[in-house]
Amino acid sequence: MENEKQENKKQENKKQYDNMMSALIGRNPQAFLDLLYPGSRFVKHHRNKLANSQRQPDAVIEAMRIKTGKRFLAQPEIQTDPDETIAERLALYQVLVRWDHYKRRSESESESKVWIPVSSSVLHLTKAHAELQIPYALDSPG
Amino acid sequence: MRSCRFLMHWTVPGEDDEDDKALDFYFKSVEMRDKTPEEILRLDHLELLPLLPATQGGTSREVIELMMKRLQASGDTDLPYYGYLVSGRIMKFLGQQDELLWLQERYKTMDEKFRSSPVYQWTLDEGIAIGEERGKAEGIALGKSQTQAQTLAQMRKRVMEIVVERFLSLAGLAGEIIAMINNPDPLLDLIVKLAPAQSTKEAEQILLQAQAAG
Repeated sequence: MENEKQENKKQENKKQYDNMMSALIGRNPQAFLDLLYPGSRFVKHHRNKLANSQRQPDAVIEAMRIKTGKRFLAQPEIQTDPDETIAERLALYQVLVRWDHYKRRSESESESKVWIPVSSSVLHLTKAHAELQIPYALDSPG
Repeated sequence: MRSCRFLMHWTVPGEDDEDDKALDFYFKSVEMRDKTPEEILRLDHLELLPLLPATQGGTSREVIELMMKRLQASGDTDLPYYGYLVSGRIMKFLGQQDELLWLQERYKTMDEKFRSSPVYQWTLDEGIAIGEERGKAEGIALGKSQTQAQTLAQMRKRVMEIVVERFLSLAGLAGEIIAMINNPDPLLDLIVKLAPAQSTKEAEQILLQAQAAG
């Protein structure tokens, strides 16, 4: 019971840090683009609560490469503590963000269907999980 | 500035001994401890300053004082608080007990407004804020939270009134977003900006900005 309480408190505090980081990105997305995606310019925010999913990345930002004018969605995640599931989580967000954007465009009469490129990134405030290395390989049973 | 590109490589068992490729997924990974305070300062964004303590040597008193001085001079109420929270979190992570005590002492002298912040209770739980102030803070927090809950409910109602009256198609989105905002300031900001919005598209951007700002 006590352990469960502590775990809930821990999760709540983690959520507070997540909210704080989302707030920082929301206040000045260009700052985080300069940090994580140098050479790109903020275009607009996209909703980060993803449809048909309880998942909510820290931010989904539409940005443009200054040199080429090409647009993409930046999906930065700020990680306070090392997390062994971060790679899978980013992969999940990548697909959901891309899918969400495509579906919205498809439903809009004024916009053409397009699969927008999504770039996922993680900013570690303390340190990355020890198992996060290149290449990160996952073999699944057939 | 150093950052790494990571590859997540998924495979499935192939027909023979070798595995078949299933998915290659690349992402960027940046550790703040690989950066120097100067690199962050050079980017010249106020909103990055609360991350300074996470950089190399970022928990030194010199860097913390510099960060706080700039954040307080900005006149913003949240940013200095964020700076203190990140400082405390990193000091705890690094096991810098003496520095944490120093930070708490500095915190003690900070403006009273920090204590009325909705996240103050959380910082007590995290052991970043000063423990001896806990009882007092809990009493203040209880009274404030009741009043604040009423204020938030009224402001959310007002936002929904504007949206339903003028941008009905955004009602669902607005409902989701305002439910996640637990601070009167961004809600007030939302009311002020939504009222003169000229189109549904403009209103949608305003809502999404508010969502991102939390």
